[in-house]
Amino acid sequence: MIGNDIIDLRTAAVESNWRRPNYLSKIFTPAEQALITNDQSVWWLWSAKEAVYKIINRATLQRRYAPLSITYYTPKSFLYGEKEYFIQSEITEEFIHTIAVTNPELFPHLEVFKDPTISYDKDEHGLPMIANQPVSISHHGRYWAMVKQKFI
Amino acid sequence: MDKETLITELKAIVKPYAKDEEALNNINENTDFITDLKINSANLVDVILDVEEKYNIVIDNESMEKMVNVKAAMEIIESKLA
Repeated sequence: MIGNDIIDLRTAAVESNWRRPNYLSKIFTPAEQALITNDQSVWWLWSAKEAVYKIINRATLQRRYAPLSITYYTPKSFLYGEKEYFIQSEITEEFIHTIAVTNPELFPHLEVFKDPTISYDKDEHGLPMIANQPVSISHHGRYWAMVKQKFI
Repeated sequence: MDKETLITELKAIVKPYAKDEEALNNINENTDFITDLKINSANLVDVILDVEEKYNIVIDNESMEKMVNVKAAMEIIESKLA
């Protein structure tokens, strides 16, 4: 299973004020809040939670807004319940793109597309598919990204 | 508070974050904050904080989980004000 999340840091800076009182405590645990030093650290944590959420949402087909239930575990993994989800992030001055997987051995077999004109299908739940294989799509501000498993 | 008033108040709260103007104009109990109004998930926190401030209530994690649409928001506000 794959999930991804891309954050346009310029859009986030304009649209979200994470310094607002109580904002961080609604979405980040005290341990996560201790990791926060700047915009990049906030949005990296958030992108990881969102990418993991996409896997869980696809598996359960349940909508839940519970960012505190997905928690930082190591710089390369987050926990949901007892289960560890593995992440990889591309972090630049302009954007953060995080990919989450259930099995880290999948990472070398993934490919990322950033061209939004690529065609894809939707399954009966409206979730994106290519050649009957689930893919994950995220867009925010100026950025768009799709992650899929390479065809063998 | 009647439902119409509550929806009108919620509409004012979500307006700064909603990306879909048509869906905002047609807001009703079945409107979804994310899929219909296209509110960014990071801004859903702002909606929750704005609701807390406006009604002077605390939305706990259990309630927050359900806050993805107008109907759930109305139920949460009504139950906290009761």
